[in-house]
Amino acid sequence: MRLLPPPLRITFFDILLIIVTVGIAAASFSVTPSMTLSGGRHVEIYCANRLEARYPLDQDVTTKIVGPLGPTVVRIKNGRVSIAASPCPNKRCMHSGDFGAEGGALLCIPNQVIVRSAHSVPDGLDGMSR
Amino acid sequence: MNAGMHRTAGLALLLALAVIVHTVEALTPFTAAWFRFGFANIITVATLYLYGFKDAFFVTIGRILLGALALGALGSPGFVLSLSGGILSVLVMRVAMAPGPRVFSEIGVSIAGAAAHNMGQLMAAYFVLIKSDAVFLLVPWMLLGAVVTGMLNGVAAQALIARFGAHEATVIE
Repeated sequence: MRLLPPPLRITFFDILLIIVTVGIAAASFSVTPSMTLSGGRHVEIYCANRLEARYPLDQDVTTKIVGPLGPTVVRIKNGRVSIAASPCPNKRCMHSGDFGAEGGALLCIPNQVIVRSAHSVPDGLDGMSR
Repeated sequence: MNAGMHRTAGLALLLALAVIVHTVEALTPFTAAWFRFGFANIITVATLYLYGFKDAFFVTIGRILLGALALGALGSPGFVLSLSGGILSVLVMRVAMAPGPRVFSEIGVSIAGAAAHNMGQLMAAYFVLIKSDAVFLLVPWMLLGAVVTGMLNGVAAQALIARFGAHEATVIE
């Protein structure tokens, strides 16, 4: 049996595929946020497709949203929202950073929690939770 | 050992290897990046080249089912994502390798499979778990992740195919 690794074999179409995929990704960076997000002074928290809570960004709040795996802790502090704790296995949501009035979203797919920016509340409430 | 038994033993070895890689990767804390490397796809690519589509499909489904059983995750959201990504990945890799090795090498096939895996997961997340367009914010990250992991796994698959293929030839001789 050969002990040395085989020589690397890469084709022109492999390289083309890499360039096209990176190009689509680069285009998606500018297209998807404008399709899915807009900035706002409020934050909406959804769990299993249901609106669970809505808060203004200027109110410091720490709240627990209970999803299928357990409680996800969402924290609003100094006008920025982040996920402080999550029961999901990989904690990717916790490492997704934060966002403020410029708009954004944080997702925890395993626990089915979405935190996203929203415009002002139509009924004039400062905050609500279920 | 006759050819049939030898084939079954080879596939069993690849399936066992895939389950171990899948389970160990799932149990490894990975907090620096948004994506996993999907090292188990190395085994899927190798199976596809060594044994063909049907056996690669069998190894992929077997790996996801047995891995989920080992992790206690059967029926969980993660299992749904793995299954949808795995099925779409092996189908797309079959299509990518159809024109022959002059078009896409194992590296190109692996990148196509990784991209399909990630997009399959996002579609499952959107249609089954979270009906929110915010899911699609992950598309660019998932595609870039697919290029990096697909390249690494493709190179590893080339090495595995060369070693495993050489061993198979030796045993059959």
